[in-house]
Parts: sequence; C-alpha cells; structure tokens
Amino acid sequence: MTLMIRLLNALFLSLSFIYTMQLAHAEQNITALNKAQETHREQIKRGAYLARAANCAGCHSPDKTKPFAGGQPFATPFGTVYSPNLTPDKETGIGEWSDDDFIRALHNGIGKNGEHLNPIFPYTAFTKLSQDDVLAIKAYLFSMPAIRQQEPESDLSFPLGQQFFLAGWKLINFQPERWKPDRTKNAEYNRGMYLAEGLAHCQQCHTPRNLSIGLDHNRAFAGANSAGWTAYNITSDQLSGVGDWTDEELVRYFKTGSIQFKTTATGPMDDVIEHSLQHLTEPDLRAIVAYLRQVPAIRHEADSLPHFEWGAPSQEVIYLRGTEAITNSNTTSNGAELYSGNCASCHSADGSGIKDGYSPSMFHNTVVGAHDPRNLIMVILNGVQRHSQATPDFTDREIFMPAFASKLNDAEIVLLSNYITRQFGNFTIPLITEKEVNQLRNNESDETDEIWSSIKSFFQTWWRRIFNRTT
Amino acid sequence: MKVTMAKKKSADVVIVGSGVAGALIAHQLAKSGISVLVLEAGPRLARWRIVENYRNTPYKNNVMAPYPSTSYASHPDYPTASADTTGNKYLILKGDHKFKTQYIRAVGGTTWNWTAAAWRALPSDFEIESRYDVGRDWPISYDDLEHYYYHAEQELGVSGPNDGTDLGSPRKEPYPMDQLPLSWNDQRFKDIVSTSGHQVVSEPVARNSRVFDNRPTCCGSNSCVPICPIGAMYNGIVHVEKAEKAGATILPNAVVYLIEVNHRNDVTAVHYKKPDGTSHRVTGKYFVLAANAIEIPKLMLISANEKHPKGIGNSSDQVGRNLMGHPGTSVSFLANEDLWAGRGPVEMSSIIDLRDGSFRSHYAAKKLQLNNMAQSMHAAQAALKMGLVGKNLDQEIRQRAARMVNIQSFHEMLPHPGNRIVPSGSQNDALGIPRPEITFSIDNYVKKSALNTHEIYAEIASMFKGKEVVFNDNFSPNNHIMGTTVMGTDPRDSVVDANCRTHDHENLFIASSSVMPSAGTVGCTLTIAALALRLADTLRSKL
Repeated sequence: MTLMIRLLNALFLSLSFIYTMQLAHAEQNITALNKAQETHREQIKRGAYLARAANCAGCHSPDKTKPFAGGQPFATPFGTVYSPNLTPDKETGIGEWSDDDFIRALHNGIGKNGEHLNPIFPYTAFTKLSQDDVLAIKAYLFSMPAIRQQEPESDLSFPLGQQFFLAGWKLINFQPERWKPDRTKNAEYNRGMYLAEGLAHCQQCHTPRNLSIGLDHNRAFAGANSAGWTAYNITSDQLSGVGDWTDEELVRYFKTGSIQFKTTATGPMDDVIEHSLQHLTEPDLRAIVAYLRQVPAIRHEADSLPHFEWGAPSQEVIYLRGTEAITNSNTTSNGAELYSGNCASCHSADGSGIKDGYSPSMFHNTVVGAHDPRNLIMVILNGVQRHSQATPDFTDREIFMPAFASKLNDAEIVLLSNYITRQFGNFTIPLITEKEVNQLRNNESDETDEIWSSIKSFFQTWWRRIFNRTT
Repeated sequence: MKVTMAKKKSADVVIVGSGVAGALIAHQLAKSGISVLVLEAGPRLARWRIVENYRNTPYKNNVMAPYPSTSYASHPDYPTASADTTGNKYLILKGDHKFKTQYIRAVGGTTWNWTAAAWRALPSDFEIESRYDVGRDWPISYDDLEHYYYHAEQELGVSGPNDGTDLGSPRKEPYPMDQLPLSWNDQRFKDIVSTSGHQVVSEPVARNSRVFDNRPTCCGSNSCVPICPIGAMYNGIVHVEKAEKAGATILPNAVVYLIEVNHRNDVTAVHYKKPDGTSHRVTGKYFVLAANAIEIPKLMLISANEKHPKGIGNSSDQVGRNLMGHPGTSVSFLANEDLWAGRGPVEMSSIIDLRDGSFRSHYAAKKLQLNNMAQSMHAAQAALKMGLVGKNLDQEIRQRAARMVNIQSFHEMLPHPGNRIVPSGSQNDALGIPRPEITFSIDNYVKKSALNTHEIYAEIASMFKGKEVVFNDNFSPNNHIMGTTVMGTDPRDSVVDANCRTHDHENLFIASSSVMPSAGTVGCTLTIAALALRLADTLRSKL
C-alpha cells in the first residue's frame, strides 16, 4: 500500500509539476504576445506622431471625416493630379501593400506596380527616413479604418506623367539615400536636420527649383513660389530669412502660426501648422529651429530690412472723415477707404491689429513687408482658416479671415493692396497691377512662378531632345 | 408709356424683393435647378460702403444715415433732431398715431440693419383667438412650422442658449451655435433682475459665436445696428450671394409697379421701371411677392385693373389692412454700479415672462429687452448740457457711459382692419408710382399693457437704485411690419392661404411678415425666414 501511495504521490507530484510547467510556458507565451502587441501599439503610436510630422493628412485627408482617403486635387498648368487613398482598403487603398512596397515608395519613389511616382509626393525628402520610421508610419496607416474611395484619374496632359519623363527626372534630381547624422554637430541639430530635411519635407516648398524642377540645393530654403503662394526664405539670413527671429519666436510660430508685430501664417503654411507643426513636441520644434539656425544665409537683393520691420501705423482715417460723401456708390479711387471699410474693423484703423494677435497687425508683418506681395494678395482673395489648438495663453480657436474674392474686384484689390504695401509694408516694391491680381485670382501661373516655368522648360527641352533623336 | 422690349426677361419663378425672404427662396429654388429672377427696387450696396457711410456720418443716432434713400426706390427717411436730413416724406402718415416705421430698399433688404434677434413665435401666438378670444388664429400651428424654424436657424446661423433655457417655443434640435458669452452689462442685469422673479434670458440671435458658414465670429464692434462691419451677423445679402452662385439672377434698380393678370386670373407678368423711367416686362410661371408688408400691399393695390378694381389678390378687401407693429416704450436711468453697456453685440438679453398668459384676453403680451448699445453719445450729450469742461467733462462722460441703462419693449398688437396702408391718391414718387399712405392708431389693448410695462420699468430702475429715471411712453413701431396680406382659410376675410398662396391667383405667392395674422412679441425675421423656406418647398414641389 505504501508503495502504491508513494507511486500515486509521485504521479501526482509529477503531474502537478508538468501542469505547473505548462502554466509557466503559457504565461510566457502570453507575456510574449502581450509584448508583441505592446510593441505594435507603441509602433502605431510612434507612426501617428511621425505621420503628423510628415503632414500626410495635409494632402491625403481633404475630407476630415475620411482620414487618409485621399482625393485632394492639385491643380497644375498641365492638368490635375489627385492624392491617392492611403487607408488599408484592399482595392482602393494600400491594403495590399507589403512592407517592402511601402518602403520602396517612400525611399525610391516607386509605386506598387513598379511605376515611377510623381515627385509632387515628396520622396526626395522621405528617402532620408529610417526604415523603422517608414514602417511605423505604415503600421499607423494600417491601424486606421479602411475607406473605399477611388481617387479620380489624374488628368495630366502628355507628356507629363509619362513614365520615361519621370524616370528622366529622377535620374537628374533624385538620389535615394538614408539620412546620416553630421558627427560634427550635436544631437539637437541632427534631430532637426532629420525632421526638416526628411519628415517635415520643408524644402518641398521652401527651396527654389532648378531648370529641371529639381530642388536647387545651392539655394536651399531660400524661398519659392507655388500655386500662387510664396513659401518664404527661412535661411538664417537676417533680412531675407528668419535670422532675426528669436528661438522662442520660431517655436511660437510653429505652435500658433502667429506672432503679433512679426508674422502670421497664410496659405499652405496654415495647413502645415494646423495639421503638423503645432502637434510636435517642444524638443522637436526646438531641434528644427536649431537646424534652421545653421542653414547658410541667402539674401534677396531686394531686401534692405527684415520683412517684419517695414511699415508704420496709419493716420489716414483722420483724413477720410468729413471728406467722403454718404453715398450708395460702390466705387472709390481711395485705397485707404477700402482698407477702412473692409479691413479696419479687425486689423484696426491704424493697422495695429488686435492686442492678442487674433487679427494680426498690418505693419511689422512679414506678409505685408515681403518684397513679393503675392501672399498679401492671395490672403485678401482667399482669406485664412486655421484651427489652433490650446496653448498656455489661449483656448483652442479657429483663426479666420473671410475671403474677399467675391467682395472686391481686381481694380479694388489693386487699390487696397497698394495702399497696404505703401502704408504698412515695403514701399519700395513696384506697384501691384490688375494683371497680377487677376492671375492670382484665376490661379494662373505667370513667368515668375518658378516651379511651373521650370517644369515647362524642362519638359520642352526633353521633348525636343527625344523628338530630335527619333527623327 | 414707353415699353422697351429689348431684352425679353423670363424665369420659372420671378421674385419681387431681395431681402431675407426673397433671397432664401431664390437660393433654395436655384439650388434645385429652377430658373429664378429676383427684381429688387433698390441699389446694390457693398458692405464696406455702408460701413464707411456709418463712419463718415456725424449723426450716429440716425441709424438709417448709412443707407441714403434713392429717388427712384425711396425708403422712409425722417427728419432728425440733429438735422442731417430733412426727411423725404416717403410715407404719408395719417391717424392718431404716426406709424413712423423704417425699412431699407436695397439688395439684401432690411436685415442689413437689425439686432439679429432670431426668435421663434410661441405656439399660443398661432392660436390667440381660440385661446384668448382676441385677434386671429393662424391657419397653421407652431408644429407645422417647427421644422422650418430649425431650417431657418441653420440657414441664418443662429446662436442661442443651448443650456436648456426654455424660451416657450418647443424645439427638437439644439441651436446651430451656442450663445456668445454675456457682456458684463447683460450678466449684471440678469443677476439683479432675475431676483425679482422676472425671467431674464439670452436671446437667440443670427450672429456667429464661432466661425460659421464662411463668416467670422462676432468681434463685438457693437454696431449691429446700423451695420455689422465684418459679416458675423446675418444679413440678407448672404443668401443673395448664395442664390447667385446657385444660378439665380438678381436685378437691382428694378422697381416693380404692376402685376399683370390674364383672363384665367393667373399672373402672367410683372412690370418694372428702371431709374431712367423706362418700363420693362418680366414673365414667369410663378410669382413671389417678397418686398415687405408696406410695399407688397401697395403693389397689389396699384395693380388694380378693370377686372380687379380693388387690386390684385384683393377680393377679400383685406390687402393693406390689419397693419401691425410692435409698439415699444422704453426707460433709461443711471445705475448704482458700472455696467459698461457697449461690450459685444447691441442686444443680448430679454425678459420673457410676459410673452404669454391669460391676461392676453385683456391686454397685450410683451417682451422687454436690455439695450447693450454703447451709451457714450448719450452720456456726452448729457455731460455737455451740464456745462462741464476739461477733466470734469471727461469724468462725467465716463461715469454716465458706464452706468446708463436703457430697457426697451415690444408690445403685441391686434389686427384691426382700420390700421392700413393704401397707395396715395395724390402723391407719387419720382418714378410716378403712388407713395404708401398709412393710417394707424393704437388701441387700449396695447395702452393698458404699456401702463403695466411702465410699472415694471420703475421696479427694475429701483433695483439699480436708478437715478435720472426717464420713461419714454411714446410708442415706436420698432420696424416690425406685419399683417397687411393676412393668412387665413376663408378667402372672404384673408389674402393668402396656409401655403402663402393668394386665394385669388393660382400662381401668386407672398413671402413676408405681411401674411402673419398675429404679431406676438418678438421680431418677425425668423418667422419670415421659416415661412419662406416652407414656401420654397411648396414651389419646388410644383416645378
């Protein structure tokens, strides 16, 4: 019996041992699974932040209720291109893309089917991203709801969009390479470079293009025009760039888009601040500033003062009162009167804006003091709308200026904008003409629109070469 | 008469008048692909011009100064004490009480110049005869209009108390926008007056408390009357522009003076004059009169012909009768604390506990409202009268501007056939069109109520230990013009049916406060807008 008991005992013991072992193993499995899930969650979270920094939503989420479903049109002189659907939908989105497909798109500018991608997608910057970061962005996009939405076919007239042209363009202007830190600089500078040159792709707008519409690296960050707007010079130059801004001002600008008596964001930069910059961490914003500080200064010959130093308060309103008739006529030859009637209620009669900067000052404002007045004209035509998240000074708010395109005709905008630049801005620039206003109103590019004129000449050159070769 | 037929004008729907009613209908129909032509008697004004007119006029107390009357499409212009205008005597005023109303003839209409108060009527306002045995019931109920009230609130952009405050008009949806924060003046008034048992509420207003419909948030310029300088407050021009974008045509300076009717009693055309006196004819399938409650009956009555000797749509003889306003009284006093009226919009708060009750069988319901217009001008006038100069003058102005309280009221009126507008038999305007002649008196129903209002004013003044209490018991019409083409089921005693269609003419509709059988106690703009949207649905179903 004792033997029997011993045996049973042993059996019991070994069974419980096995059971315990199994339990432990299962626990290990669960821990491993949890860890993997945790890692994945962390990766998605990181990807969400990186997608913010890259402002994917800026182009791919025109409809806020359909994040990343694409379909944003980009009008070009050659026709219209549409941003693609980045949701994990298998048919209309990128649901069928492998990690390698996604990496290849960002690093090499090559699509799922091996086709060359249009460089309006900034792979010239994204090629610098680490593989980890690229996969984190993909993980984030794949964590979003799949939305079935086919973007319209791009309507690019021949020959733009033809694969051999894109291949040719890439040959000249695109070098796939990962970012490498500059060992001679500190970590903050390097983080800033990675952000500015890679994720945030600042150069896409702020660097002028060369004759072949590649980025002109000799003039990096020196400012460029596109779609009617100027992306200003953000080199360290004290007159033309941001050299005279303090670090605090730059960070504040990234967070709010507005510094009273200095600057206010307009146009595409509104979108960059709303969807991207204001959501970045303070250290990241400071890193971008640290990097911009060391971007070589490039000065524009027209600049003799920093843009924000031009202009002075106006007393003009005093001369208006008592001289202007009470009338039903909607015509005037006086820009000051147009300013008073259309602008002064928010920007104040003397142009000093509203104290808290909600409506910026007209004088000491880079938009008004710039040597190229197009952002001023564009902002009059199109207004401003930017959601600003809460800061220590403000609750979140909608920065808004109504569009005047339907309220003022070209001649009136000429009168108004010439009054504004003479009174509040750089009075040495040539007078604005109706032609300029009309072109900006109708979104027509003119010969000064650098990107598109270079695109044109580039393709014309190529077309001639090929034509000559084939004949 | 010389009739130019150079351009043949025609549309599915021809609308006379481009104010909030006409513009809303034009927009709704044009959106549905229906061809719409809007004829507006007055000129087209740019907002900036109105703003500059206001800034340029030294007569800030004449809130119509920024809207100079034209010779060809006159609107009322009264002589003012400060004599910036000697008036144009456009309205010929008769009767015990002069109905000195104001309105604007210009593209966009009178909502260029208003406080933006966007109230719904009370359910009882639609049933005043059944409930209180006075006045006239509407042929529709509040419930029939509730959906359209909400639609109107969305179109105009109404902000209101979304905190559950009961304004007496049941609603299914919250206001499209939350209310603006109260000014200090309004907050203190509410705190103090509420303790007396009166119900002080935030008004629903067609004014942006956030960016809405591509228009900015109110910036507190405190010039809603005479003009919002930034378009944060709703003006009819909003829907004029929307209607144009949707494909409607707006023709300014087109003064309609004749409605043409065929042998089947259908309206076939309207005729208008240009400022140069030339006459033009416009044909259409449906016609909507959306001028106002003075110009509409005037046009219907001057269009009389052999077959319709009493005027168009007037077999009931009710066109032009039952004219109602909101006779108003007011009180001013200096409070015992600084309130600083003038921050934010010109009006934010109302006292609403006397808008309804069994007393309406005997005397008028009313709504009282706190004026939040800056009082600096009145303060300065009073201080100057005291003979002060220098620092003492500044101090006195400051003190008075900070403490001056002004409360106003709207009294409900009953429809009386004797209160009426007719085209003058002897006096014409510059285009040879008869001027409106208004006969008006105020009955004891209103006067009795006003005595009670006076007592309430005194009660409120004492709560602020008011000094220099000044009552103004002269009834001002408050520019809410109603009742002159009244709505009803019986063609023998009303002009339009429940669908705002004239009983007499299959294809003639009226979009105006002129169809309202009862005046209630609140500004009629939101009701006009709701009725207009309902009318747009009716027309859409026909086209």
